[in-house]
Amino acid sequence: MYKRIILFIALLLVLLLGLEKLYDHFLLKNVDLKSSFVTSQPVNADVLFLGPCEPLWMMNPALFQKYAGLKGFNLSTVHANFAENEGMLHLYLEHNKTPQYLFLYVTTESVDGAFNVFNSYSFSQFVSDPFIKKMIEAQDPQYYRWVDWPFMKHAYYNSFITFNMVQGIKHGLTGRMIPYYPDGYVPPHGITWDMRYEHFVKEFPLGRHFEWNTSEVKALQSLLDLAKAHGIKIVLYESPMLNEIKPFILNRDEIKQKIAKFAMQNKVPYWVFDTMQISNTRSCFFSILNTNNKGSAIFNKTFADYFLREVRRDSLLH
Amino acid sequence: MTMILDELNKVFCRVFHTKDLVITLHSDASSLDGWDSLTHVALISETEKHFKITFSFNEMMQFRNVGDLVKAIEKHLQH
Amino acid sequence: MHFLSVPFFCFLAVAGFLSHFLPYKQRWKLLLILSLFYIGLWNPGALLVLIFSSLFTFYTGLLIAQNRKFRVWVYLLSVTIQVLSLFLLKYVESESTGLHFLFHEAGFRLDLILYAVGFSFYTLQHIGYITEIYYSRAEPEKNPLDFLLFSSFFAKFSSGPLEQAPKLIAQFRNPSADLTLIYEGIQRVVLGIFKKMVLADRLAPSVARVFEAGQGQGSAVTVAGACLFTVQLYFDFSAYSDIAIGAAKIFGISLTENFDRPFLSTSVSEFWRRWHISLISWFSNYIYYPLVFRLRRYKGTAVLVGILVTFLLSGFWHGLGFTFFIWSLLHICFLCFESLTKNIRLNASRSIPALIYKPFSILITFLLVCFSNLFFRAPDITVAKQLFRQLYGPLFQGKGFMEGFLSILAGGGYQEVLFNFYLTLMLVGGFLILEKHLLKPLLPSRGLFLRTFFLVTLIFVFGVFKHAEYFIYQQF
Repeated sequence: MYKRIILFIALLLVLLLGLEKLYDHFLLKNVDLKSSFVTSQPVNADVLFLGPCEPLWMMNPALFQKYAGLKGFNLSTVHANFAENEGMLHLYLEHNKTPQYLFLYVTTESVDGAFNVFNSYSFSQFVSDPFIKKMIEAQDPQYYRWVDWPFMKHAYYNSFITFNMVQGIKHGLTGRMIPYYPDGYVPPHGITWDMRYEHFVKEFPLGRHFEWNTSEVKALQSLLDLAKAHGIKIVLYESPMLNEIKPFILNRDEIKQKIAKFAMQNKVPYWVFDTMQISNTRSCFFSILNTNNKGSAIFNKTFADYFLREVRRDSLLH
Repeated sequence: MTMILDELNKVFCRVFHTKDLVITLHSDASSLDGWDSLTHVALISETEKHFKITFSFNEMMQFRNVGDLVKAIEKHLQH
Repeated sequence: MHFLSVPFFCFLAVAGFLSHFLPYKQRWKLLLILSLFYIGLWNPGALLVLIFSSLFTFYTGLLIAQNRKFRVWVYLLSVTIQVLSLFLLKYVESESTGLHFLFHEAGFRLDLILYAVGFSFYTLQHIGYITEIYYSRAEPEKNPLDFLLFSSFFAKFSSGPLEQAPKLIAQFRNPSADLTLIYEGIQRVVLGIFKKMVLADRLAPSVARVFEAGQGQGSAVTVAGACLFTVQLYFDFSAYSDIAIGAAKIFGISLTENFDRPFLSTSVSEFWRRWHISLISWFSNYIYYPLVFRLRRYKGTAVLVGILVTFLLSGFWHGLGFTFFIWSLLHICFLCFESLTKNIRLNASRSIPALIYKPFSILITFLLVCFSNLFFRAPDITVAKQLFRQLYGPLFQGKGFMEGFLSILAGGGYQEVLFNFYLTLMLVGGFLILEKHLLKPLLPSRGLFLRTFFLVTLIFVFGVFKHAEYFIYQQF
């Protein structure tokens, strides 16, 4: 009987190691995974847009190139906190030419800690990278406990990973090289109004006090340090938000000042676009912090113009 | 024994509203369609009435199949 | 140490390994030490209370058997104390009462100790034990250590199955020497892990979205949520039983089966004979039958009263909330209806071809159970009312099938979540179809090897690892 059990465990180990290799391989083949895409073939953009979902759905590199003449790539990922941003930037820098500029979205939500998270599963195929591994240890200790066991780095969050692996098989077989969204920008479609305003107002009828979360700020600092170490010029910015929501963000001015002070300490500019006309109307937004295609078109132009003006003023030369 | 079983068969037919039911000593809740905790009580009280006997509480708790029931009836009829 | 944790499986493996080297007659000592260790590790206070409670029950059992004169009083006193401790547990559990707060103030986690006093499962087994002795249906046990092992046996300690002392103690003293039981045990444990991690936990998020999102959902999604919850509850709880039964089998001990593919029931009363069997037989042996036998002169009424009392108590046992009360009322209604229409249904089943009648009855039964579970799962009565109202609302709440139904259950309309949701449905459906074959243990053979290997692979590829150390039923 012991022989059978040992044989079983041995075979299982072989299977798990095999599965691990299989997942590693095909996850890297999945060009729709931004992390896999930027590490498998050079993107070599001049500017990077980074942050959680808001820039992902708002910053259109094609428009930026049209107005400012620089090739851009949108490196943002859904619900990502600064640590995840840093992980993405690290992976990008490992395999690409260093960009000139990094535009990092920062708002009251970003420094609060309750809205964005470190989506550990997006790095499962990069656990062997010591930088990523260290990051996982700090951000998701529970997951970290398992990553060295055979296959567990993929199994632990398999409901987030299996689909990507299957998609990777498809991309591997069809030899696809170009992602569905080639420059990383995901235009919002099929959504007109996401009710986030209503939910927020219902949950916080008297408004919400936003937190200046030290660990988020520390992660932001670390992200800036990584970019600085590579000689990238950093811009912190906040895109337009719907004016209607501002009364419900109770300490908005306080947080804004703290971010400004933080930017000053780091000697990086902090651009806030909250006085734009489009903020007054819902017709340019599909959510509190997200412009729709119409609003994005206007904002991207404004952003690029502002960028050019600042470059001319030389204020971006640190 | 067989006489009691025949009589008991009548009781069962009455409780289960059927004519073509044949029970054996080994029939139990799992082999007889419709014999469940809801009919069990009716079955026992009908049996008591039919044989004009009264089971003790402990006897009732220990009926597992028709055989147990027949044995208990026999015991009561002998007294 | 939860059932679904690496430490538990290591514990099980080491225990199984150790017991292998002991003569059969001595193994109960190892089991006793391990069980006490298992409970003590979880909560030393609970261990003390368990030992006290077991000894109390053991000696009252002896007293009842020996003392002719005062046995009624000893019996009543003992049962009263046990019932009170159960009641106290439930009372402490419900946070709405100020009492809960009070115990927290006391500082030394009295609530946890009280939890152990009334730890529903062993209290019920103790009540069963002394009742059997009182009615002279069983002899009292001779050795307090035997009885302590019966109460504390780690495989069944926290959530059953409920056992009868003589049956289990005889097995502790004389465990089966059949080595194939070890294979059966491992298969059962693997099956349990599979049910919990791959089936129940994959269903959990969909269910949670229906029951916790709360407002303005269509009737279709509410019905689907209730059905999925019922399936989830089954997998969750039967997985627990599977692990318990499997773990016991590794030591040559056979525990009572707790589930018998309940979704194939053709009536609600049959459902209750196939669902949580050990608890239901406790309720019928010590509540339902004693009651209806005494009232049997009143025939139908006796049955109705029996159902009423049994299910009110069962609802109370599950929780003090108003939702559990409604849940038990619903089952009382179902069962009374079935009791009253027994003959009509019996005639119908004879005149309608089984091919039509049976699937139809199965479907109706399943839907009735799902409907009652709407109240079982609802976090509070406001949500329950809302869910109930939704049943009569528009099918998809004015949205399309995708937005008003599928994306709520799947958690969005993205390819990825839909893929996961379909996968879950396929796994659950496939399992339910093959369940009969999977439950049949295979003897050591290539088939067994392949099947276990296949299940373990599925656990790794599709199992939910995060938050897996949690069973719905342990809270009762």
